[in-house]
Amino acid sequence: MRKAVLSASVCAVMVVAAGCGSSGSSGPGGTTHAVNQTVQSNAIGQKLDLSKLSPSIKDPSSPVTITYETWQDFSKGSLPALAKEFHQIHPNISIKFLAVPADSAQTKLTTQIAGGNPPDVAYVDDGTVSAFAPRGAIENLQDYMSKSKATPQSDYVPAFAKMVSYQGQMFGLPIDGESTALFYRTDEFQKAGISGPPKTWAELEADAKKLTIPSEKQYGYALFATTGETSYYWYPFLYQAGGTQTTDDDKKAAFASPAGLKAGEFYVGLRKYSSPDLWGSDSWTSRSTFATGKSAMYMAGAWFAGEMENTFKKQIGNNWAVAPLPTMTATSPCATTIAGDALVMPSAGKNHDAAWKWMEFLSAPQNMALLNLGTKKNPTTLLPPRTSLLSNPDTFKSNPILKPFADNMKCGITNLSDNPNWGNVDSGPLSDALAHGIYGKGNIDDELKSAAQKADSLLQAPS
Amino acid sequence: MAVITADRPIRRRRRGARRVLFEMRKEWSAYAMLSPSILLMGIFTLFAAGFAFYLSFHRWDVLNPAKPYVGLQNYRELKNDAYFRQAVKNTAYFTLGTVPLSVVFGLLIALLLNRQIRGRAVFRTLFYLPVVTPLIVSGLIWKWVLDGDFGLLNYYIGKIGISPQLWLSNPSLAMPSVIMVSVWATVGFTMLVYLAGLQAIPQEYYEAAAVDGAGGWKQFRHITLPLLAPSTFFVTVYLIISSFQVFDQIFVMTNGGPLRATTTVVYYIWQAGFQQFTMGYASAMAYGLFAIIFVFTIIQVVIYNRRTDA
Repeated sequence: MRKAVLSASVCAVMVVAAGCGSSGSSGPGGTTHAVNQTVQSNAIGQKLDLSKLSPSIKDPSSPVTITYETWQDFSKGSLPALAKEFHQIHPNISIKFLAVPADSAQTKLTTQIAGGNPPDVAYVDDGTVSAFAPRGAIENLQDYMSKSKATPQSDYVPAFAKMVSYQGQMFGLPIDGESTALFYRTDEFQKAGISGPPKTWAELEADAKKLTIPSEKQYGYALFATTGETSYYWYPFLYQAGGTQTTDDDKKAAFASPAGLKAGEFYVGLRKYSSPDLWGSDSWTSRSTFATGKSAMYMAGAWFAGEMENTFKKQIGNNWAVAPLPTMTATSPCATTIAGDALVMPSAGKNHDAAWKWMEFLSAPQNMALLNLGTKKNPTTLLPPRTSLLSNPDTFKSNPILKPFADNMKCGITNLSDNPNWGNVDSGPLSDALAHGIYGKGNIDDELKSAAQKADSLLQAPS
Repeated sequence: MAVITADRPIRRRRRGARRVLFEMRKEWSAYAMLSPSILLMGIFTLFAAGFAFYLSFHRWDVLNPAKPYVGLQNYRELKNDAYFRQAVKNTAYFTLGTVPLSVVFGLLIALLLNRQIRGRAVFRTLFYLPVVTPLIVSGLIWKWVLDGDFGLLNYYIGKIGISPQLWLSNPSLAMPSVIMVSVWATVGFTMLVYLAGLQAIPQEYYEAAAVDGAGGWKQFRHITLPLLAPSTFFVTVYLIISSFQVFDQIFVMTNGGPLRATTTVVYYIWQAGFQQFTMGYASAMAYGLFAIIFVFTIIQVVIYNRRTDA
């Protein structure tokens, strides 16, 4: 579920990105030169020569069409402009966009692969990469990466590289990303006499308590008990307590460790400060409760900032801010979850070399920045998952709200696992255990322990 | 069977086959016109059903072309799967809630709209409208109506002094809420079948009963209801089969939650196939569901035949 949530929001954000791109490139003419200038004149990051990204990989000798399946908006804005520019550089390669709704992208790609007619390149959630790579459905990109100037492995933020890796090999090119942070209502905080965002678990709980007035349907926090969603927003607490999902070899569950139980107890304890009506919902659907002030604190990814900035500006105004997630104690280490999207090359595609040309083109620093950050007039809120762009001060000039998320990156841990069965644990016993705790049906310690036992047999099942 | 000599059934069959071919040739244009549907049905229903049967004995993760044979393992797993049992229970709950309510309300509405009342056609259309509206759309609207904090339903019941309810977020209210929406969505269909049934009842029976001094209730009990039996049978079988296959409203309104309270068999099959990539197991479950529906339909046919024979 969380995948769909992130995807939908990314889509919404991308629409804005595309919208602003179009105002820039709507000049007269529309020749290559114009495209080049308008699309890339204000680009951030290292400007590679886009025509010489991988000289050792030959262009096709006769015209081919590469299909690119995505839920990014390609009806206007930077993406079609980039496709046009790409075609100028590679006259034998044309790009054909295939639209797919974000929440059914994985299902569609799955059936396309099963039917033997996948797109040449697909834009997918990182979770899809970890589901597809072990099953041999998408190409190992390591060899292509080593031949290209656009994709030096060392420049990818390690946690993002890991998310698209299987057995140490990259099967996807990270193209955008986000980390999870704490959003809070500055007006509600002021009213409750709280001076700043919580820095520890104890402060988080105390603040949530102060901000909760059930009779007015006013709550301090927003908790979700739906499959996948509940575990996703629990992981930061698990990591902060020093716990992990599985053992290092990915073969056994480790989330019922003393650290895990501590995280579980704390997380489930927040139910007292969260509207029971949200439990059956998810963070995407319930984002309006933050905009209307019904939930005073909200844990969410960078996409959420885009929603508040763009969709809910009227309701919420400037009465909100972002803070790094609190830590367990004042001295314990920080931790957050990170997520993102990547470009993949389905193995059954017919033009791998040409497909790669398009993938590396989009991944070149200047183009990746363009796709993620938008422009000063219309900033978008996704992070480019490359170190050189994240450490570039220009990146945050037009959208300072991204800074805390970027700072958070160093604490980023992915919840994806090399064990292809982890998804069944996450959506099965683990989600059930946390949901039972939140609904007050059973002791969370016992629930997590019995979930871990079920998880062990799931993790060892043949995939 | 034992008394029939060996060559007799064969000859009869041969003659039968020839006869069918003859009839077909006589009406070849009909078959030509039917062929698109037969072809589509063949590919998307018959072939799919056959392929699913094949898959139920194999392990297949959809992406990997390899489909190793695993024998009865998927079916054995089915027997021990607590989630599947829970899904069967939830489906039974849904069916037991939806079918009787839809039949009763459908009959009541049909009786009312069979009378000469003003605006009859408008009412019939209004009641039938939900049937032609895809549940994937109306389910979304119902989700908003049933919202615990800001839903219309809570707003109106608040006006008459009932405290707001978490219709879709409370594990014990979620299924009744889904049932309510499903009754709303199917009652127009039930009404239509009953209306047709009512209009097929000859008026003379009522006149004769009135002459014999039977009142409204007696007429209903001894004429209307028995003569509607074929409609009731059809509607019940149809609704039970479609209730066992409930998916859309669950997918849109509850995602199988809260706490799996609305995870029905088809929803669970979808999860197994498209979220967990265990297509073989999902196929085995589909055949488990087929067996359940098959048994129920047989039972209904037997009951109906016994009733009408008697």
